[in-house]
Amino acid sequence: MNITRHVKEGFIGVLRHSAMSVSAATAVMITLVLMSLFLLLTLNLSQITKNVEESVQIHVKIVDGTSMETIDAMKAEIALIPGVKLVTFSDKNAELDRFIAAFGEDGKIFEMYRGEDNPLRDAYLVDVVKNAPLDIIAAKIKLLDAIEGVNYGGDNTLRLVSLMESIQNGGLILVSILWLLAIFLISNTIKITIYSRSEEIHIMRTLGATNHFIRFPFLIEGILIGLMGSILPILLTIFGYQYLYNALGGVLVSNLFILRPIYPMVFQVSGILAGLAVLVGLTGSFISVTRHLRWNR
Amino acid sequence: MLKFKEVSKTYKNGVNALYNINLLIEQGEFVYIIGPTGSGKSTLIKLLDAEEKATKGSVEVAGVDLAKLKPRKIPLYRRSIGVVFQDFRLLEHKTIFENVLFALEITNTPVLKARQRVREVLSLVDLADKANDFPSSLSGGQQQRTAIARAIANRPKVLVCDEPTGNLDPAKSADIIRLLEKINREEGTTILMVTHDISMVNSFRKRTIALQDGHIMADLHDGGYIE
Repeated sequence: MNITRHVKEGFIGVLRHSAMSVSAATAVMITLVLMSLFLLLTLNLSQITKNVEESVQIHVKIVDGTSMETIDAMKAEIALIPGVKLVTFSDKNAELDRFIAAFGEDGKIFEMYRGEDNPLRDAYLVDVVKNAPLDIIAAKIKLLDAIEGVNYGGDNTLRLVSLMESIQNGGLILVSILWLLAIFLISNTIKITIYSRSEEIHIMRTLGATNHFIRFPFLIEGILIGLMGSILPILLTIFGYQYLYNALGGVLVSNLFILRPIYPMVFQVSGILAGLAVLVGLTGSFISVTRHLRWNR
Repeated sequence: MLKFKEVSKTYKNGVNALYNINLLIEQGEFVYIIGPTGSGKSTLIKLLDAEEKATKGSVEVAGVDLAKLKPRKIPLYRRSIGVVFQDFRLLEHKTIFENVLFALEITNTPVLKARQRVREVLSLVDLADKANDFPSSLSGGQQQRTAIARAIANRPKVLVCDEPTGNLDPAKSADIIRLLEKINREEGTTILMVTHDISMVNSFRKRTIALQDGHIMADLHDGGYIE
C-alpha cells in the first residue's frame, strides 16, 4: 500500500474540489464555534457552581459566656447531625478577622473592636456534604442549647445552588442537541460532497480500483476538511476567551463567580475541537464513500 | 481467450437480455458486435465487465470464470481487461497524465515505471502534448483517445470497447478505429468492439457478430454489411 500516494491524493482532492471543500469546512466551522461557546460556558458554570457549593457553610453563633466544656460537647453533637461534614470552632477574634477580611481594604476601621469590645460571638462554622438539606440541618442545630443564632444564607443560597445546577444541566442538554444538529449538518454536507463525486468513484471502480484504494484518499480529505473547519473556532476560543477573561478581570459580576483560568483550559477546549473536527470529517467521509462502494452484482 | 458457453441473462425485473449465447473469440482477434438498441449488446459488455452475472451458462475471460468470481476479486479481474466507454468516463479533476497514471497506480506499478508507461501510451494515442490538460479542455476524440490510453496502460489481453465512436463524427471515428487497429497489431490485444455504426463496420472489415433480441443472428468472419 502506498500511503504517500493516498495522502497526496487527499490533499489534491481538497484543492481541486475547492468549492465543495470550503462549503463542507464552513459547516464544520459553524458547528465548532457553537460547540466552543457552549463548552466554555459549561466549564465555567460548573466551576462557579462548585465554588458556590463549597462556600455554602452554616454559621452558628454561640451565646456569650458559654463555657469551653459546653462548646466542645456541642461541637461533637453538631458533628453527629446527618449531612454535616465538618465543624470548626471559631472564637471572637477569628470571627473579627473574617469580618474585617470580608470588607477588604475598608475593613481596617473595624480593628478598633479588637479585644474586650469585640461585639461578635464565638461561632461554629459547619460545612455540610454536597446537596445536604441546609434548612433541616440549621433547624436541628437551633434546637441545641446555648445557640444564639443560625445563619446559612437562607433560601437565597439554596436557590442559587439549584439555579446553577439547572443552568448547567440546561447547558448539557443544549450541547447534546447541538451535537446532534452538528452531526446532521456535517454528514449532510459531506454526503453532498461525495455525491457530487459518485461518478468519479464509479469510474475508479470500473477501472478495477479496490474499495480500500478509493476510500483512503477520501478519508484524508475528510480529515483535512475537518481540520480546515476547526482553525477559526480554535483561534476564536484561544483569543476570544483571553480577551473576555481580561476584560472581565477574571470574574463574572461578583467575586463569587470566578471564571476558569485561561490556561490550560483554552488549549484543552481547542484540543477537543480539533479532535471532534477530525472525527467528524473521518466518519462523515467514511459513511458517505462506503455508501457508493457496495457491490450489487 | 473469450468464451461464452450457453449464456443467458435475465434481469431481476424479468427482462430477458440474452438467450443461449455461444461465442468463442481467440487471442489477438478484432471483433465487432453489432445490433440495434435492446439487442443485448450492453448486457454483453456488463457480463464481460463483471458488472452483471450470467443467469445461466458460463463466461470465461483469459482463463477467469466470471460466474465464480467473488466480489472481492472483481477489482483484480477488472485490471486485467481494458474497457472503453462511449462517454469516455475520464476523471474530470485529474489531468490527462493523471487519468492514465491512475490505472497504473491501481496495479501498484512502481512510480518511475508507471510514469514511463504513461508517456509511452500517450504518445501511442498521439496526446503527449496534452498530458497536463484537464479532460474538459479536450475534444471528444482526444478524450476518447485518453480513455483508450488508460485502458491499455496495464497491457490488458482484452480491450472491450462499448460504442467508442458513438459520440464522435465520422472522421474522428475513423481515427479511433485506426488507433484500435494499431493497438491490436502492435500490442497483440484482443479487441471486442460494440457498435451500431454500420458504415464503420463496412469500411474497416473485421469479424462481425450480429445480435438481435438477445440471440446471435450472424457471425461473419469476413465482416461486412448486415441488414
